[in-house]
Formats: sequence, C-alpha cells, structure tokens
Amino acid sequence: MALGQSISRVESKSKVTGQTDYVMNMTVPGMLHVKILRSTVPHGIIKSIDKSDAEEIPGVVKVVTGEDLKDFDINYYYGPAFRDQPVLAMDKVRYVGDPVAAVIAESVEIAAEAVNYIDVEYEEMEPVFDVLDSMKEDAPIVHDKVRPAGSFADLKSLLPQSGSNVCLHYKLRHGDIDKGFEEADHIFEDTFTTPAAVHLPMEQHVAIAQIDSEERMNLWTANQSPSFVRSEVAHVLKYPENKVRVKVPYLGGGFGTKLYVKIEALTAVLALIVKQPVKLALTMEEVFLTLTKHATVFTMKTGVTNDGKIVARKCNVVWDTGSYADIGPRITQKSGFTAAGPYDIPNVHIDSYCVYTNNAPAGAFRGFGVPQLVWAYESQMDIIASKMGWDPLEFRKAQVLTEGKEHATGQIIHSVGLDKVLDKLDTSLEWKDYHTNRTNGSVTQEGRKIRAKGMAIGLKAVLTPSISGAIVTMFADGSVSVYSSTVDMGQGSDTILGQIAAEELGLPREKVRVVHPDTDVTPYDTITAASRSTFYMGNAIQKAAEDVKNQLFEFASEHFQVNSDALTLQDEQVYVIDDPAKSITIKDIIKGIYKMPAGSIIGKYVFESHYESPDPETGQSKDIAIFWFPGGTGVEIEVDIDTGKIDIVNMVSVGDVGKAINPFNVHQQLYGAAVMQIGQALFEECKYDHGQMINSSMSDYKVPSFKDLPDHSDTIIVEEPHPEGPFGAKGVGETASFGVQPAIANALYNALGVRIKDMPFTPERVLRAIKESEKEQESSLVGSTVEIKGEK
Amino acid sequence: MGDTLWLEPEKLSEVKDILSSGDPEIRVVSGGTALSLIMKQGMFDPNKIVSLKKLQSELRYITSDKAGNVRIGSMTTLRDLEVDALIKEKAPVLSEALTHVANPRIRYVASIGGNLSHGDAHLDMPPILMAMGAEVKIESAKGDRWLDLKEFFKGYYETAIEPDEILTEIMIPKQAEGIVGTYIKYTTLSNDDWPTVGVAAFLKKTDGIAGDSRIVISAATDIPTQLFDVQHIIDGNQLDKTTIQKAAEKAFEVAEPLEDLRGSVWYKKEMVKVHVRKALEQLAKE
Repeated sequence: MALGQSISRVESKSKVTGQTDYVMNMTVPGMLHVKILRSTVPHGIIKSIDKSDAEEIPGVVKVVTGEDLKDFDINYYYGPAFRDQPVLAMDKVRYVGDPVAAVIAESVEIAAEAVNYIDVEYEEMEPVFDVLDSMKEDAPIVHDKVRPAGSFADLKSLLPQSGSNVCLHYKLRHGDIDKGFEEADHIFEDTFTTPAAVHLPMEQHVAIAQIDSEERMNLWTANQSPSFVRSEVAHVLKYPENKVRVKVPYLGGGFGTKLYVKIEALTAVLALIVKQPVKLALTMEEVFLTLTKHATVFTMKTGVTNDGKIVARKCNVVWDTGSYADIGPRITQKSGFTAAGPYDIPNVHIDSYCVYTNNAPAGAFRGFGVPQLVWAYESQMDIIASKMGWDPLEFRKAQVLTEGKEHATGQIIHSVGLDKVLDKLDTSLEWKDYHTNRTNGSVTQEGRKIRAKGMAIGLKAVLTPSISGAIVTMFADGSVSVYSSTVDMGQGSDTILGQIAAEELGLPREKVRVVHPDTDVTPYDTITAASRSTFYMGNAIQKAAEDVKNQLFEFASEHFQVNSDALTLQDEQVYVIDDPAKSITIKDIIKGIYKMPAGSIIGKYVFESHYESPDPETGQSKDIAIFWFPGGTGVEIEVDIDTGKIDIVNMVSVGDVGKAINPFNVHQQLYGAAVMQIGQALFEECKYDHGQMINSSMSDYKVPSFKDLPDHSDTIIVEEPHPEGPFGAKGVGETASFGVQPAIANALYNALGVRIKDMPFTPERVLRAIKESEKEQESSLVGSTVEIKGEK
Repeated sequence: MGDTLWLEPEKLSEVKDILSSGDPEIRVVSGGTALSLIMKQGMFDPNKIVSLKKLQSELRYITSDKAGNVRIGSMTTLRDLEVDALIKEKAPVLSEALTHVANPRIRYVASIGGNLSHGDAHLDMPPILMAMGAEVKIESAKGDRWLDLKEFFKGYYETAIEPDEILTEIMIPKQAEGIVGTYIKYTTLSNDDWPTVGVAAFLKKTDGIAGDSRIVISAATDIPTQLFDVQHIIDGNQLDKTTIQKAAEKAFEVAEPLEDLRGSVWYKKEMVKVHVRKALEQLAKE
C-alpha cells in the first residue's frame, strides 16, 4: 500500500539528470521574444512615448504600448481581488518597474537592446512610499477608481473603497473589548514591523503564448494557478473559457510569486497583436519588481489578569500592498482574522487594512501573511511572560486553543493539535530544564558568544471556500491516470496525489500517473497554494478513485452474486472478503464490462468546501475555514555580542499535518519552509531609494545558503487527524514558516534582554540594540509600553 | 551590445599588440566571472574583449624561484591556488581563505590575475596578498614593470593598470622565519555573501614580542588599506591584551569605511575594531 510510505519523488531522477521540461527551456516554431520597458518613476502620468527608433532596429517586429491596446477589443485590467492592474500602463504609472511598453523581436538580445531606444516622457506625481502616510487623508491617491473582480466567492464581499489608498478594511469584533481591558490587571502595547521581501524561485516567471488554427489562445506558463489564468486571460481577451488553453509543466519553485496572473495577460495580448507565438521570460532582476511579500506594521494591545489569562486583545494590522492589490485584500481578511493568535481570548478586536502605496505590488508569500502576524503575537507573548515572571511555555499552554474551544471568528475549533505542538517543543528544546536554570540566572556562555533558546507557535486557516476537481481513469491493463490541475512546483504533489489514488485503488504507486495541468483536460482547481492541495485535491482524487472502485465492485458483485460491501480491492484484484478464494483481476473486470480487452473506467469528483461568509461588521462566522493547521518552532541561537551576529545552533520545526501521506516529503516541506524563514528573519529585506529598489539582484539581496543552515535541525510530525481530510490529512507547505522569526527574537531576548521589534535582525540592528540596552541597563520593560491598572 | 568583438590571441605578445592602442573600451578577460556580471548589469559595454583562454601554457603556473619567492601566473585559477601544495606550504592563509571564496564553480574558472585586476574592494585575495608583501608584474608593448600591491589599488574598481597594460604575474616574497598570519572574512547578510569587513594580519613573534606586522583591511573601505598606525602600536610590543586592545581602538579610529547595504559607517568601524582584535588574538595564540 502507498499510504504513509516515504516513496521518493516521481520526478527526482529527471530533475537531477536535467531532463525535466520547464517552460523556461521551451520553444515553439516561429516564436518571437519579448522584453519589457519599465517605469523609472514611482508615480506619474505618461505624457508621450516615442518608439520609432526602437521599431527601426532590424529584428524588432513591434513595440507595443498601452495606447496600442486601444485598437483591440479587449479588457485592459486584470487581478484576482480587484481588476486594478493594466496589461500595460494605460495612462499612468504607479511604481518603479511598472510595465510601460513591450518590445517584440526575433531574439531576446535584440528585444533587450531595443528597449533602450524607447523614449518615455512622464509628468511626475507625488508618490507615497510609507504605508502609514498612505492612509492619511491628504495622501496622494494611487488608484482613482478600483474595479472589483468576480472570480472568487470569498472575495465577492470585499468591496474596494474609493477615494482612499485603503482598498480594504477588514473588521473582527468578538466579545466586548472595552470590558475586556477593564477586567485586565496589566495592559501591554507593542508595535512590530516587517519589511518587503521576495520569493526568488530558481525559475523566473516565464510564459509562451500561441494562437492556434482554431484561433484559440494557448499558454504555457510557469504558474501556480492554471484554472485562474484561463478564466482571467479569457476575461482580458473577451474569449469564452474554452478558447483559452493553459498548460503548466513542472515549476522551478513558486512560493506564491507565480499565483494568479503575473505576465500571462501581457504575453497573450502580444501574441494576439503580432499573430505569432511570443515568449516572455523575466530576468531575475525583474522578478524583484514583480511581486513582494507584504511589509507590515502591526500594533497589538493585550490585557492580562494576574492569574495569567489573556482577557482582551486589540490588533491593528496595516499591509503595504504596493501599487496593485494583487491578492492583498484576501491576505488582509483571511490572515487578518488570525491576528490575535491561536489563543482562547474572550474579547478580541481586529482592524486589518490593505493599503496601496507606490511600492512594488505585494501578494502571496508562503505563509500568506500569517508569519508577519505570528512574529508580532508570539513576540508579545514572551514580552508579557517575561514582565509578569511567567514561564512563556506555561503562559501559552494556559490559553492555547484546544478541541471544542471558540476561535475569535466564532468558529468552534476541532482537529488542531496545538497542545501537542507545544509538548513537542517542550521536550525537544528541553525547555523546562532550560527555563528553570535560566531564571536562576545562568545563560550558557562561550567567550563572547551567548546561547539561548526561544519558541513560537502559529495557526493558519486554509483557504475557504475553494474547489478542486479530479478525474481518475483506469485503463484496460489496470494502470491509472489522475487528471488534476494541481501544479507540482517542487512540493511533491505528483508523488503524494498519486499515493492517494494508489491507496484507494489498492495499486502499487508506480501504476498511477498524475497528468500535469492542462485546462483542456484537467478539471478546475482554485489554486496550488495555501497548503490546500493535499486536503482539497487529495479529497477529490480519493473520491474519484472511489468512483472507479465502485464501478469495479458493481461488476464484481454481480459476478460473485454478493453485495458490494462484501468486496475488497487489493493487489489489483477484487476479493470477496469472507471468501478470498473468490477473486477477479481488474483486467478481467474491464474485459468483462466491455466484452473486449479495451476501454476505460472513469471516476470523477469535485470537492467543494462548506463555508459561511463572515459578517462584514464583526467578522463572525460559524464556518470560516474547513480546516486549521498549527505549527511551532523552537530554536537555540548563539549571539556574538561583539558583532551582533546570530547563529542558529538548533532549530526544531513541529507541524500538525493530520496524517503524513508521505512522511519524508512532509519532513522536507517543514524543513524547507523553516529555512526560507531564516533568511527573512536575519537579513532579507528589499531596500528602496525613492521607490527604486537598490538591491534587486542576487549579488545584493542574499538568501540563505548551505552555510546558513542551522548546525542541527529537527522536523517533528504531529498527527491530529481531520475527519474530512483524505486519510485524515491536512496541509503542510506553510506550517513551519509561522514561528521562525519570533522564536529567534525570543531567544535573543533570553540571551541578552534585548527586544527587537523590527525585522530583519541584521547584525547591525542587534549590535545597536545591545549597545542601547547597555546604556539603559535598568530598563526592565525593554521598550514595551506597559500600563499597570490603578497606577494611571 | 551585440557589436562587441571577441578576440582569442594565442600569444601574450599579440595581446600586448592589441592593447597598445590604449583604447579604454578594450577589456581583457580570463574567467569572466566579474566582467560578465558588469556587462549583464549594463554598467560596461566593451567594444573588444580579449580572451586569454589560449594563453594557459604561458600564464597558468605556480612555481617557486631560487630565492624562495612564489611566482604565480595570472591565468592561474583560484581553484589551482586552493589545492596547490606549494601554496599550502608557503601561503597557507591564502589556501584556507580560498575555500570560502564564492563557490567551487566560480573558483574553477576565476583567475588570480582577474581577481586583482578587477579592483573590487570586496574580494578576499587582495588584502592577504598585500599583507604578504606581494608584487605584480604588469606588461605592455612598451615594456614590463613591477609594482608593490600597496601601490596597485587606486580606488573603487580602479587599479594602476593602464589601458595598454596587462597583469601577468604575482610574486609572493618568501616570508621570514617565525611569521604567522590569518585572514578573517566577516559577512552580515548570508554566510556566502561578500565580506562586510576583511582583515588580513601577518606578524613575526620573537620571544612573545611582535614585529614586522602587516595589518590590511578590505571590503569596508574603497580599496584594501594597510593600517600603518595600527602596525606601529603592535611592533616592538608584547602581543598581550593591552596591545591588542590599543591596536583595535586605533583601527577603529583610522578606518574610513563606506556605507552600503551591508552596514553603516559606524557599524563597519566597529567591525574593523572587533576583527582586528580577533585576528590579533588568534595570532597571539599561535
């Protein structure tokens, strides 16, 4: 059987031998190449574009500007939440990097050369870069008008606000916040920030568009959401959906930057204009300008009682979504409602704002906003525990959400092993020993380096509602193909989804093949993101396979004259359970059904979530997420007090995955997500000068290398099965991303009494904090505003 | 771009002939790891590239002369140096530092001549070679000249090589008996990043007394910089805590770093101080 086995990746060999097909390596006959001219000003009106010199260069086929699009009967704007992003800048530009013109040429080199010969004149407008400034009434307005989109059910209720840069304000009101603070003995208020960062998959964004003999638009693209690309490109081209075909092979990484439409609308429109196939492949430098992770400012006010209970929590979260909303509004809402943390708090008040600025667009980034929130609430948990003299682990245990408790959204929580995650952190960090010794005043010291431990936990709600369809076809020889629009972007979905089908059909894994997304062939799937595929697509595939199995049983029950429930499918044969001598092979069943050794059995299923839309004023819903998944991180760090540099000596990532379909793959996902966050925590940050990114290359924007991995790492699987998950499984792709940053910040505090509230913790930032704390040694509050009731 | 002429002369004399026009738009390339980056970023667009790939037999060697000096041909790759037995014996600090330079793929193609000629202050070889008193041979159709590395680096990406010249050999003089040395590469972003501060320190210990010290800092400053004032504090004194502390403080005082993505002026001065101290503490133990 395939379930629970660490089968190696089906694509491993072809990847390591360089035989895997990526869109980046693809060509089609007669293909032209595209290069984009990007805005050099952060905010301005395009006064004129002179493209004549560029078009005279031999090999240049055409230079296309926003003005040229007006000759075509198409929609100019696209986007998953709001249709605010133009195929090419139509009248104004909103950030440095905004696509202004596209050169189509016979070679990449000619196209790149010609871009330099396009002359654009801008009338510059006042830009706004600071997200808090952008919320002010007199701020320059980035979008005069915002067009709602209609593709996703959960986003229908998100109406954009006009005349303001706040494009979405999400509210959650639970209990009575004022009463809660009155009941509190102590109130803590802190503000935490995170910078913009980037995903940097090894393969850049790339797409090829070709119009075929039926005048259909064919797209090959490195994208995580083929079904969405089909519908959104159909919208842009004003085509019916069946005239757009989107194919996605393996991706060289995604992490959120390849979700929704990125370059596909432009590529398709250019193919339409020149009536020839075109390929657009971004350079790594352009990837930095395409999508970032939301920079945030999160102010959190928490009231606690003397006996260690949190009684009130007020969250004000501001998301810098940049020049285009992308999926920012969904992050603002769906992650926003988790901002108070995985705790049982009777009175919660959340305001979450999605705000336009003239920075590069921000969107999904592995964790979908949750890491930015966990960073704040788990840092504050330790601030409170330290001030109150409580063990931070016990303080968490005292309020952590457990089976049957009510989340701030009003949903009753089930199947979340948060208590088990905490237990695993406790034992793997040897926390009790450590904490006891530490409070006795001993911190392990090694010369000028100090070691300390820290932990953090987080909880995420899976994207709900959403849909996954699957078809499972069994051929006459008993082999099986699974038709799914889930994109294998390196997370191993081909392997795991195949295992689910094999398990259901009693087949060895190698008898099952997973067909790659092709919207002509594979059914609709919302997206490959949000740690949702194992659960949603896994469910669809399991039930489609069950459909196949039922058809086999239908024949066999007639054949053996028994009821279907008396049958079992194993080793490619159907047996009568009570009389195993009675058996028939799959091949013989198919031969029996079709009276010839040919034909196929087709199973299908569309898995839809149940969902109750939250109240727009209070954010309350009894059914806001189909499942919740927790993760925790424990670290031991070593800080060099001379340089401020943090070295992670040990890192433990714990994830409740419901059921590990493929344990090795699950460990890899936990480890990968955690390592990615190390970079975010310690040094990754997009740096801008008047809107111009100044470190947009891999020489200057560094990501963790092998030399940055913790000396020792553990990944621990917790299995709290979900009754609706395939074999109990939940998701895992983002689980270990939640707690890395606050765990490190908490360890840093435990090492030196230094509390950092702005990321990343660069050596310089840490050293400055150390020097400052040396100056004000007596300040035991370490920067947190603490209000003690009765002393006001 | 696109109009660049690619030349592959087969003799050094041909290279010198091509360069003799003195055209600053001509660039010599060996491994290409630096030039290709600059060209890709659109910062430099030479009209002629003179590849040295056919000069391997002339310019790729590591030998020692009669006086015990090490002589390295400019086309010698960083990987050649890293694994060479003579270098391990005569300049172990260099071999060790090379294991942390870029990655093996780069080290297999990047040459030592290119590494120096690039004039990039972030590289690891210049401070070490400078501290060891290395000299470079610069040739042109007009003749040859030798230059101490201390005179070689002129500014940010600027060296003493004239447009008609080419660097052909590096000479590391025989180090006196009792000389110890070390190099510290300190990074602030990822651990495989360019250094934020590099410190090369060499000195001679005689009965605990330090002498002949050579302290060179790099990366933080626009060119690798020898800290003579720091050396004065060290030379003739016990390499003890007091001397080391004084030397480190002096390094903080005299260093003139540039602010960039990897640190502010204040932080880099601090790091110069800390790493000069760490380097000297290490040498005190040896």
